Amino acid sequence: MRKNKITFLVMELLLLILALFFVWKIFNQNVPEKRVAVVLPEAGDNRWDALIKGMKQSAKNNHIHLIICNTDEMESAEVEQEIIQEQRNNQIDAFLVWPASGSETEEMLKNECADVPVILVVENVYNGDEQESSTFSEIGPDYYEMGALLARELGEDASKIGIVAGREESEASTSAVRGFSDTLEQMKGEIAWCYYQEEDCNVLDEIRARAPVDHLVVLDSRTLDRIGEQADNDELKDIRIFGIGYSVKSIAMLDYGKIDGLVAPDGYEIGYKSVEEMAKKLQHRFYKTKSAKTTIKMIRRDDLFQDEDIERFLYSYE
Amino acid sequence: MKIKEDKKRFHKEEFSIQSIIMSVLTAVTLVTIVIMGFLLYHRFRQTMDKTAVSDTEATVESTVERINLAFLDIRHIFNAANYNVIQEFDISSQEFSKQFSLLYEINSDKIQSIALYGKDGKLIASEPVAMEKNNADVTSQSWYCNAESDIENIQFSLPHTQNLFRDGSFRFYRVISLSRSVDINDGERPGSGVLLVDMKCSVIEDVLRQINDSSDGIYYYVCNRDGEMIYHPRQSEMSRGLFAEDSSPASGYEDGVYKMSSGGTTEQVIVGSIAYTGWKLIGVIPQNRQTTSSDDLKYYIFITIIVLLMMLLGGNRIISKKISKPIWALDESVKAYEAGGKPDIYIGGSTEIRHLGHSVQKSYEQIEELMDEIIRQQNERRKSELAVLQNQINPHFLYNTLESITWMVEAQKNDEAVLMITELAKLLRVSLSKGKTIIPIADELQHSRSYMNIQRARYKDSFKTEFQIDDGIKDYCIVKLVIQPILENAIYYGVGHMDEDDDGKIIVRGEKKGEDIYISIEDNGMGMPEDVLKNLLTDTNKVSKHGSGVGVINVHSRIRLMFGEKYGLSVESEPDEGTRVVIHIPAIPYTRENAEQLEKQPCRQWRKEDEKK
Repeated sequence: MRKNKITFLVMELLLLILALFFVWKIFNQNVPEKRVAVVLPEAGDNRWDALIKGMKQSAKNNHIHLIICNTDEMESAEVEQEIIQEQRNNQIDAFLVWPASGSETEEMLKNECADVPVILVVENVYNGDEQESSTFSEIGPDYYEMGALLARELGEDASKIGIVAGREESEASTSAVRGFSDTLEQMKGEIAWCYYQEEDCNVLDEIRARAPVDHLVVLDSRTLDRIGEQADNDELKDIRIFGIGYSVKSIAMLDYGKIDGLVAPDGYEIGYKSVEEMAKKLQHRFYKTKSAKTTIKMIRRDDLFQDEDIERFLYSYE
Repeated sequence: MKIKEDKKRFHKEEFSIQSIIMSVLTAVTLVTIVIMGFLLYHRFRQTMDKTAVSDTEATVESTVERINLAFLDIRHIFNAANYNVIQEFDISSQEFSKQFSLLYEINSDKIQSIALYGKDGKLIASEPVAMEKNNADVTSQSWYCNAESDIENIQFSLPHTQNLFRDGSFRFYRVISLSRSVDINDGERPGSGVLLVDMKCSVIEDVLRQINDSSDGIYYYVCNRDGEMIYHPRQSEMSRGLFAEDSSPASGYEDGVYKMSSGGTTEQVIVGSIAYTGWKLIGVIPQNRQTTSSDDLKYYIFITIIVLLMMLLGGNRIISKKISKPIWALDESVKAYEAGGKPDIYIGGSTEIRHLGHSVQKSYEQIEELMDEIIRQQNERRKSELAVLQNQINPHFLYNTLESITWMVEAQKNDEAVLMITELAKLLRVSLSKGKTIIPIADELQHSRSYMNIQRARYKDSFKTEFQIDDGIKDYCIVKLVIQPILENAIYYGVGHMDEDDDGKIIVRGEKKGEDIYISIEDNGMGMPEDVLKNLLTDTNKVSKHGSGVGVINVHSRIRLMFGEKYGLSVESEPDEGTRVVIHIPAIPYTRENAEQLEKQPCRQWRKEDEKK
């Protein structure tokens, strides 16, 4: 009799717990989405259109709340640190960060984001040593391969080449320059000069100050857009311009003949995959995020409206 | 083998009636509630699916209507440009430019550009005025070729990136081109050209985006008759292989609702046709669509099932207890009875159980009566058996002793005859004991001494007798005539045939150890072989050939009948060494009450009652 009573009470208790669980489920359906902050320099700039579109679509699929931080240029790790600190006070669950140039960025990210997951987007942190890999996962294009693609595009007739790269303490710039130089070396091309941009510099003045070249390779998207705009100026009129560009403006300038060749990373894919990877991390605490290299595309003027792939590529920018 | 054992064990396991009733009721309840819950959920799901289908149908219908209206608007603009501007005015006139510009201005929210090209693909006029791209060869573009090949109708292109003009803001525009070959008035010379109206893709895409954003798991896409995707909410993912949608089956369907298999699941598709273009608007309801309301319903059904189950479990318990409690109480009282108690048999509960209780009570009362009767009969039987055993002594012994006295008188041994008669008188006094069975040990010893004196006279003192008796045991009870048969055995089988020189001796010892009394009769005669010794106390058919005719087994049986199984005789014997017989009896002081009690019924019955008290 006593055994029966205990069995009965245990069953009632179990059923009560189960009922309470479902009541909790009903009231717990509006679980707040995980908040992921996106830290990009000049977040409103149109070069990030495809990237943010990809991020938003992936965030929608994975029920993530994206917060695109309103930022200006990010010249150094300190500026980026301020933005991250500001967001930390905003109950952020994870960060998608474009790392500022400079070797201190990695340390800063380790300190500031020790207890929240971080994925680097577009490019990796600069650590000065090409052999040493970063501790963070990175989702972005292979800059070395983009540099190499440009070198192959220039071909063997490129005699005098000038390179305008981004900041010297940037993993993307150094990798692209290395990829370009290594490939060109095999093709017996000659690099007349290589200029790494500095803070508050005028790129056109720097170009003017250097030896004349007949091919200009611009490995920084923002600079490419600026140089492209000035392509009709006297000092650039006879120079063929090639470069790496993320924005629709770069593609339009290729279309208008202001630049001659363009390697474009797939911003949409970077955005989509970075949020997807972060969603996996947020869903499974012990998941280890993985780095991924995204698609890159060599775009030529003649192929622009002939190639269906490029047509679809353009669709991501709208 | 193991399984068989497990099965046996399972079958042997006992379940209480309450457990069985409770289990059966719970199982029935559970199955019923689960089935009802499932049916309820299924019914609701069906209703929801039907609602989703009808809602999607309505959305498809209204969206098709809106897109058709948008296309109709553009057609009107196109026709206005053709009939009211191009065919009305000379293309080189100011009025033409003015009307052309006015038309664009009025409809700039819908159209990206409006342009008129000559036969050779040369731009005649365009709004907004923009610089033509130098690499844009319009004659190779599909909208131009379509207009040239079918001059009668307005041609709709698929959405594409406009490739005509340079844009100061470095942007590209997605448009749907409407083109048609038109007649042109160029001064006095009539000619023909191609009119192009580029409709903003956003006009349609905004509508589709809107319905996709507000849908709950349902999505809508547009494809042409060949299954080529025109709009999909996840088009960018599709172009990168991150998402797949097979539009070819649905693109072949006429307007209506269809079920389609896709990726192992069945989905419902609602197809609507868009006018002028032959495009299809397709609404997809995935089978695994999870909506908030269906989740809510699922949880509510679970909660209802659980609460019902809890209540029914409580109810089941009360019912099962109500049924099983009287049975259990009856069972407990029967068990208590079986354990030796004399409880009142439970009578209560329903009529059937009360009837059962009465029956059991009556049965037990009858059993009690029968048991008492059996015990009474057994006691009677024992008493008569004891009497029979005792009565076996007198005739044999008397016959032998009287024969010895006769022989002594004949042989003129008068003194010895007198002694014999005197000892015989003492012996008979004890033997008779006024018909009692229980006598004091002192009387039994007197009887033994008298017997031994008679026998020694008969055997001419060929052996000696010694009594080593503790005085303390003399006032305890003993069954009469138990030592004498042992002594008789000791004489006939031990020392009786020994010569005087052999020092034949019989020693009788008596002592009290704890609650028991031990009287041993030991001789140094020839002893017994092992097989004789083995059967001495068990062979009931053995009949003594000598002495009184009463065997050792007779004594053993009498003691056990009187005092219980644990008492009686034990015999030790070694051939050529001698025999020792020990009488083991309980130490019961000889009083009138004890003697009468023992006489009335055997000691074991008497002791049992004492223990119960």
